[in-house]
Amino acid sequence: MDTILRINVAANGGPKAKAEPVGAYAGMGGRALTSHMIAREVPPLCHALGPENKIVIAPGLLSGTAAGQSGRLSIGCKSPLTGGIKEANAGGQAAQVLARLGYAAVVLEGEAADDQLYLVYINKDGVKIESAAAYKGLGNYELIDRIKERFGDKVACISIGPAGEYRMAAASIACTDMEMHPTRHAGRGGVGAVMGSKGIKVIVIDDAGAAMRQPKDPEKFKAANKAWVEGLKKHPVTGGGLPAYGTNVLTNIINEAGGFPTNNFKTGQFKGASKISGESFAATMTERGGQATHGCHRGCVIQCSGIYNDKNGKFLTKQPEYETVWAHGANCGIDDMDTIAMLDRLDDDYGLDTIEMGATVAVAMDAGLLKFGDAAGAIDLIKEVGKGSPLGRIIGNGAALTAKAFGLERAPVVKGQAMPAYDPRAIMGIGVTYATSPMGADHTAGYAIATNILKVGGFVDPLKPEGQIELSRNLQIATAAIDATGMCLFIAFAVLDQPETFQALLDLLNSFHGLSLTGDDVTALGKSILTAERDFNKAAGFTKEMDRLPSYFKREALDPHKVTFTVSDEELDQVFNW
Amino acid sequence: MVDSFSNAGGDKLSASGGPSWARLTGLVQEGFALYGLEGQSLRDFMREALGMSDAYIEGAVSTVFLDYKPVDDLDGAVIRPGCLVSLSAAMPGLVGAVMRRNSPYASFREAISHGGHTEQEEAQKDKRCIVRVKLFNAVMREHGPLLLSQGIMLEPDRIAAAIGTPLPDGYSAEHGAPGLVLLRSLAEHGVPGAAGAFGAPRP
Ligand code: SF4
Repeated sequence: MDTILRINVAANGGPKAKAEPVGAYAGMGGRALTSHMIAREVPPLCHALGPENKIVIAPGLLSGTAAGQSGRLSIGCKSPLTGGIKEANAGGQAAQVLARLGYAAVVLEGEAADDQLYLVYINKDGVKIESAAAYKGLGNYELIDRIKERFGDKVACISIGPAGEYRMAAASIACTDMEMHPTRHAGRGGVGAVMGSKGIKVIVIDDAGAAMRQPKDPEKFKAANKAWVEGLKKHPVTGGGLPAYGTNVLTNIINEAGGFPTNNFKTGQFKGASKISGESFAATMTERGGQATHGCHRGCVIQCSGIYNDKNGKFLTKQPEYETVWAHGANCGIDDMDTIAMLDRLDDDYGLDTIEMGATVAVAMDAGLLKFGDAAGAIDLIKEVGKGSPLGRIIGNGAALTAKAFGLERAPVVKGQAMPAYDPRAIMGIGVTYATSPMGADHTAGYAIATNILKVGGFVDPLKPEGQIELSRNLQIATAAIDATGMCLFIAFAVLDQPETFQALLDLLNSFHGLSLTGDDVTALGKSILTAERDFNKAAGFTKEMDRLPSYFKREALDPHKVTFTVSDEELDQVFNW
Repeated sequence: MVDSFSNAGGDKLSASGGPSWARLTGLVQEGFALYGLEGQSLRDFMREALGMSDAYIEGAVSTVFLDYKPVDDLDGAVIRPGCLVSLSAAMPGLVGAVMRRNSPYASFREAISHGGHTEQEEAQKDKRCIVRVKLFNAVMREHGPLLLSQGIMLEPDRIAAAIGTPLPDGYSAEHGAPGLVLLRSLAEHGVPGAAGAFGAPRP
């Protein structure tokens, strides 16, 4: 991983690729690389769809190695949704394959010279770029079928659907999974629109003949990986709850806590929760011959995903994740699994962020465009997005724009990005992260819960009321660091509860790269990423007043606990005081 | 354990819950009723009414709600008539970790956490009362079949909807629990279409 592949899409006669040494970005991976490169090379005040913006696609520091769970891909740019810096993260095969070919990053830069679309093919011999005119307007599923016919089913793809071509602010970038379905998405922030603005429809990566990346200290690495995998397997969450039911095991629990946003964040509980719970999905998937336990890339130990078949036993989509089930389910008042699975499929096909789309459909429902619970209407609305009709163009640009278009105050967004599946009034600590993350409302920004092991910012007394400010800060630091490794964030549970598993992670990094990182270095890495991101946003015009939740979260009490968001602005401003 | 739930007649218990289990998991997630004792601690209710061992409570039931409030102190929280007890294994995600008992991240949910001792002195000690219970995920899978074999109380229309057939004649309200009937997963007791889901009607 000592090469950066830059593709200048503005070159005469079509995009040109140039490989260069990793240079100033040596030792960086994943979100560390994407955020530092965007902060350094993209003018913060540029238009997100203009020539100065770049898309940086970077595997993590451990991607492409034998380390379990290391296949996450980071995609960074200036976001057309938030106007700030963005790192969106995806599973699938792409990170492993790209890393094995030796690339620390692929960078798309410049402005597409014409209205043409291109295909980029990367293998061990180099890069070929050709017209993708034949693929114009195709959904991700048909596109990948055609790629398979031509390149076989061993390649990995990074692609956009029609939403990316339309440059919609909710457009995602799809990565193919082990079955070569385009089901894993760098979803948030409109990264697909930026790829669309560069005129690149699909990047096909073929690692045939490329070897697994080799560690500096193979013996130590092998031992660390063994301890790592054992740690993940023995933990009740990473070895039990996640494989059995997937992330959607959370539906029942968050609903029970009264923090499950329902009908556009009007209440905290959904009557139909048990019909769409992970337990119910797992039973249905098994009954229909799908799979309730499945990985999104080779080398995933936890396997939180699954395969969802339709009523006839035919593949429809991957097991919808908790956030998707919430967004298209409870938040829209829909309690039908097949509808949610179909919406997930359509989002993946058009290339859309499921969280943003669920939140947006709910806003449209709240505005009276259709009724809460209208399953057929929700499907039709997403199809409008796929068609690119005038209504679809509004919906495809997210919850904030849709609320504005329909004259509605109740847009559950921060920095223009829709909130995920936890109501910040019931779980106020997550509201602190929604408000202050440089990414806009983002649950993964403060996801890594290893903070008291890392001792990031000192040990936090959880019983003190101010704990949630410190915790949110520390969680954001730890998450940024994990995002740099290429590790799936779900490792955090095992790392939290089992110090020896955290040590195994450090040993993996150290033995692979010949380093001697400590917990302090990991903390410093997380802080440096967040600082680069905050500085970019500041230069892009962000002020502390944008680190706030919409005011109705302070005004409207949430049932059943009748709580409002009470963290003060002054407290929120302390999150990044370190 | 209230003795009216003893497993009459030596019916076979099935660790997997028997043939009716798959159709009954929805009911177990959505909630059923059991008898508890007013003023009893939540821990004692889990031991006695639910029949959970101390090791299972400590090791497996990491996430506990009383009336939708995450509970940290199982000995301080007490049973009240009509209260709702919801039980789950350890959950993923930051918010999953936040919800765990005695989570280091409990401050994230301090606005909704259960406050511990609640008017214990006012409770009529040891008076039998109806308690609603929900079991989720691994706790449902591991403990649900056993509980079902011992008997749980449900509204008859919910049972009929779950098994897709009306209740047989002779079913009447559970004594002392108006509107509820006793459901047991007893091996192949010939209720047509019900796959042996019922125990005998309460006398
Ligand atoms: S745990 Fe889930 S999200 Fe993480 S790598 Fe495995 S399948 Fe993908």
